[in-house]
Amino acid sequence: MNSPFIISVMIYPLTKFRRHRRRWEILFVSFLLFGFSNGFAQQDFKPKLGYIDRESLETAFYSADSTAEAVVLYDYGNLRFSYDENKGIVMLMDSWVRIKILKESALSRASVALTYYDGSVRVKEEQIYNLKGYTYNLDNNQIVTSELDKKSIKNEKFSDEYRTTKFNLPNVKKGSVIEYSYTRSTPLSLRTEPNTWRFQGDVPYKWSEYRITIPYFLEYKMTMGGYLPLHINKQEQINVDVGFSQYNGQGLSYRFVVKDAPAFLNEPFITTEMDYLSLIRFELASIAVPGQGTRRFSQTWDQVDRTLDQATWFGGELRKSSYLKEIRDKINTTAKSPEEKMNMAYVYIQKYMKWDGYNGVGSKEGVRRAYDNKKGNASDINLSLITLLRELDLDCNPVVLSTRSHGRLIQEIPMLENFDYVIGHVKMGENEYFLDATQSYAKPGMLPEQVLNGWGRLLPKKGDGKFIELVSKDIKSKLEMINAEIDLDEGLVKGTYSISYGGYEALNWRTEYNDIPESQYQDDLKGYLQEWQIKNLVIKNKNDDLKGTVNVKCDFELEDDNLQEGGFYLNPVMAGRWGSNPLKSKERIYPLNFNSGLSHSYVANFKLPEGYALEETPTPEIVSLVAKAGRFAYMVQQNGNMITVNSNVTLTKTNFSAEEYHDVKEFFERVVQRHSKPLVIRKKTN
Amino acid sequence: MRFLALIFSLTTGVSAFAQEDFNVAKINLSLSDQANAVVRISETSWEILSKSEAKRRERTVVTILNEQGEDEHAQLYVQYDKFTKIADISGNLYDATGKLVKKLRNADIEDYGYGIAGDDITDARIKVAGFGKKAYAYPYTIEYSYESRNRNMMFYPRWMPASDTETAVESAVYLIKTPAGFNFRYKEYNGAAAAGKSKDKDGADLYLWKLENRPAGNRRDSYPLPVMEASPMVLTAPAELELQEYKGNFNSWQDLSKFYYTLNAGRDVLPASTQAEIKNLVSNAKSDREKILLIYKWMQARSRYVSIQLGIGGWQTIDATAVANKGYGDCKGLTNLTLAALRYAGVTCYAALIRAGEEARIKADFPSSQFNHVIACAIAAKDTIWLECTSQTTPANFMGTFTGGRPALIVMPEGGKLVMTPDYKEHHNVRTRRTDIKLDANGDGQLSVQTSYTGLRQESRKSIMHSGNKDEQKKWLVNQINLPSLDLERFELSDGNGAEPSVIEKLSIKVRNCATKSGTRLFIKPNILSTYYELPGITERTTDFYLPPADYDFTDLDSVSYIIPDGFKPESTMPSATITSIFGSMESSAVYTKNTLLCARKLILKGGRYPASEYANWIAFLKKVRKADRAQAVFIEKVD
Repeated sequence: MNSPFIISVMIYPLTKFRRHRRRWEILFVSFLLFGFSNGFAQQDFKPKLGYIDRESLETAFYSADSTAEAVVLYDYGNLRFSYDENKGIVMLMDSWVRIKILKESALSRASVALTYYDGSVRVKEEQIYNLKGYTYNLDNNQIVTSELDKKSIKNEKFSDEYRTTKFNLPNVKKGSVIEYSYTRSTPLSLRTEPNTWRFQGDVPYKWSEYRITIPYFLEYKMTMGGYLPLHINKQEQINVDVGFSQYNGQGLSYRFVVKDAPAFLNEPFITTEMDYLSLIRFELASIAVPGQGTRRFSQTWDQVDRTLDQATWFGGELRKSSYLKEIRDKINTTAKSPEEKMNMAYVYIQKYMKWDGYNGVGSKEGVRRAYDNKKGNASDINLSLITLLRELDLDCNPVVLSTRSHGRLIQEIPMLENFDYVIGHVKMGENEYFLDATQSYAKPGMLPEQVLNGWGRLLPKKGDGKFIELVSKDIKSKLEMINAEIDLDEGLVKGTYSISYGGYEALNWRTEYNDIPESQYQDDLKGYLQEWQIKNLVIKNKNDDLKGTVNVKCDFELEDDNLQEGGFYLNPVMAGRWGSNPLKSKERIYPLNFNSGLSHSYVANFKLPEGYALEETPTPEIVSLVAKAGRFAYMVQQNGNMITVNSNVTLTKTNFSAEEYHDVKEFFERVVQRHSKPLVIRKKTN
Repeated sequence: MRFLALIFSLTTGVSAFAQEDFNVAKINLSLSDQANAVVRISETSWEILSKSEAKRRERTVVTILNEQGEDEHAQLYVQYDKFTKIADISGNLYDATGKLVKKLRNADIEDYGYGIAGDDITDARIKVAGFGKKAYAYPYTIEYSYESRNRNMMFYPRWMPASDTETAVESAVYLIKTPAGFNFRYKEYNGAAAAGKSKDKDGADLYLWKLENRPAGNRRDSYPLPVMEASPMVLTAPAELELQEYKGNFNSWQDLSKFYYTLNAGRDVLPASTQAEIKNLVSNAKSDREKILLIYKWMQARSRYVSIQLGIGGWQTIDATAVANKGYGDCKGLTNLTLAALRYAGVTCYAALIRAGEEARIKADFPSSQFNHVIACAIAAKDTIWLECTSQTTPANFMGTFTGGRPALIVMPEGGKLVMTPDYKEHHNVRTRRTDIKLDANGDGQLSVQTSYTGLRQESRKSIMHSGNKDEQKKWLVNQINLPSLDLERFELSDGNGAEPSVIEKLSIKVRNCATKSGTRLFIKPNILSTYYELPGITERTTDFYLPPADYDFTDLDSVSYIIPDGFKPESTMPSATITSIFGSMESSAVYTKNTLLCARKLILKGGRYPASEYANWIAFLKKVRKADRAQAVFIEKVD
């Protein structure tokens, strides 16, 4: 098992690396083209470990961001492969970091914890070695170097499988430069891919460099993401010595550098920071073992499909169905139509199995075991649902996908690691349904918002897989209604208030409130409708019919001492008001991504005291975003002493580019403005 | 009979109730009604073997009613270290009828190191046990028990069986067993019933505390009392103890002080190079105060905090030489270095033990190890200067929410005592703001705002000022400003001058719709930037309520001047309000002269503990303040 491998070099098509900002940049690295020109003036930086330049110590702040707490002056990774007698092929990663401490809050960066595998399987053991650390200070204009004392390196057992090496660099203060380097050896039997390298972090990076040398018997696919250009992008063919003559030979060496990367700051309405950070990812494409031929891993989508189909934890699970026969027969005897079968199967699995909160494309300990435990990850639950639906002779197939927190699915790069979730897809004549039974309160066909992330890959029982768009028919929908009377004698607005939660609003409501005492929702409603006296609260359809809305109704009274004889002001958007713009930043460099569409409606009828009327009726307002992406309509009407107010905010599109940001912000702005305007009501003079 | 059976069960570790029935139907509905879980049985036993060793046994049986209850109780966590040995973790799971369905296996117990980060070095570990792989239908019942041997007798267990407000308690007991005539100390708090005393057949002394049928508390109490003030609790402590080669007694604060002194004596020798540095540093200092400030600054500039909890080192400092050479240490180490430097410079100073954290306080009437932090206390003539040695940015003598306003134990060989650290009341925590607004005819405004923050009020701003970069600071500020939408064009945060720490914040903000234009009117808010206090969901209460001083002890001083655009005249009368109450006071007013609307607002709040009978007054006060803050001035276009 530990013997390494041999092969022939794989050749990859090359897509040109583009350098547009604000575009997804994807890089296929070819094995063919060496010396791929980097197109930049070759300005290089090669520091020496243990030696510091005076300038780094003298700088008191980083010119590109004067308030940064620290700047990473140098972040270097060099990954190599080597042969170890006991462990076979191991990855050796040299890490080297140099950080300038600019503020006190960054002092903790001098405390480092490195966790590594140290479990019972000896051949998988990781090691950390060659650990060196330095702190540089300028004392009385002299460079003073303090070296990390080996005795102060602590090694703690974290769990049965992991240990942690901890060290604290000495004499670190504001203005210090700290530096440390170490090598980590990781057997391929523990992990087959190098870790993702990030060129960016929470403070500015002046120079981030990643090198990797790949021997001929290994083939990796590399993908880049983010918005920063490469300063150096170099590859060359070299002789690779892994320390075992049989495996030595031609290999490829790469060097990637990003210069002056700004700090990455999280923004609201993004999928996950990994979709926006500048980074490089790896996936193993093939290993060539001498005498055993070439083991290919996913390389084309067809191969990814096949890998999944052949995996015991995925395709294998879909071929086991004995545990579901009993329920299948039960459904078959009662269900009258395919729709009914689907719904019954869905509700059965939804109620029977509890989601443990974990995502997953594949089952961890077997679907059967999870089924017996009545608890499992998303894959356990949805694979048993798919199996059951297939047993019921429905055209049901898995769709593997990447959830929002896992990041955008890159269709251009066939990789198994793209996926972290699986749902079911049912085709019934013209109709198609997406099914995810992890959510206790989702109706059949409704996907949780986490799952709505562009595209998934449909894997039919027979034939080729294909990409399918994960569209939701559901949005965040909320309708609030007020029927009220204005009582000048008592200075009160009183009437009834109702709210209906639909779509994701209903799912969220049910998930939050269904399992706890009703008093909690009452308290929250009182918090939402500050100053209101609420009576006779009734909540209907908490969970009887998940397709229907949750309906809340109550009576209310609101004291308003502005209600004076002769004339008064009334803010008619008493509930459901957009009190502030959810988009706060003036500028935005990343696209906007809302989980799902929304529709918030508000209808109010106010009965004015006899003889009172609007001083002037506001003009109706309609604001639209281009291509029907969003619409806001607002109208006030008067009929005798009745005033009717209608407000409707809808957002159909969920993804907006950075260029569209200002329009979306302005759209919300108009809603906020409109909702804050009071009406002027006067006693008619004649 | 039950009492005896119980003691038997506690001392043998095996359930003595022949037929313990965990059927869920047996739970009184008044207990489970608002609860996520019900503790059916909680047994803690502390068997003192000698001054240096004790045996602890824990057994809990909890019925889990829903997912929240599961999150809280499904797993057992047992922390241990070099002084504690854990033995015999066992567990059972019962279905709703009380039938045993599963037993805990060894494979269900995991073991982890306690500290994960590089700046958290510890030998403490934790065992985690659970039945988590399988889903069980609610309700179901979990039983856990374990036994440990303890050789760190500074800490006797604190008993607080109902600390989680969403869990009801059917029955909880705490038993202490000692050799005949063995002396130790205890005290009950917050309504915990007095101990029952007896002897077992071998003549050992038994002390037993019980709590029964306590329903779950209020789920979302907006103003909960600190748990140490509300939940029944028994504190226990040694009278005398032995810890490795150290002997001491804990009968008074003076005794504790002496014990810590002994534990740490002789560890304050500075290396020669550091002595030279200090000598040079204070050579021109004219007073002790000046020396203290110089040494504190020196220490802050050359050190950083790293948590180190190793063996007896959890209570004993690393020696000053090591800290001086490495430039880092934990609170004990950094305080010890500071004290060593101060002493070398001839300043009188002491270590002070304290319970740090917002709202964390010790029970001053029960001398025992209730501390989690050490600070330095230096004497300058008649003044005491407190020094927080783990922070590089805190000004000298500023204790803030972390250690302010609470007793600290001064560590001395003789005569150690509790001393209060500086407190921060409403007249310390002041926000003074001047806002100038230029309005245009559409209601859009250009704001220029200058604010100074003092006392506890400057803490969060100082923190973002010291740690955030420009973008983070801007984001943070935008989120602090209570306006529907705004464009923060420029901002500046800086330290104020003056003896007490303060932050000056300057903002330049463009606000669309700053005043609401509706038809021919402009609706202007005199209170434009100050945040509203939310009304709580619950309008009645039967228990005391608590307004944490960190949030509710303050003074707000606002003056806002609006320049009204040409062509408008006031329509309404200008709002004004005067409110007084035991909770504070408010005055607000607006005056219109020569195209300028001048608004003033002064709000003083006094936090603390208030009786339930004052709750209605508090709500009424809040409503009045909210009303005054909502008031608008209305201007209308002039018709020529």
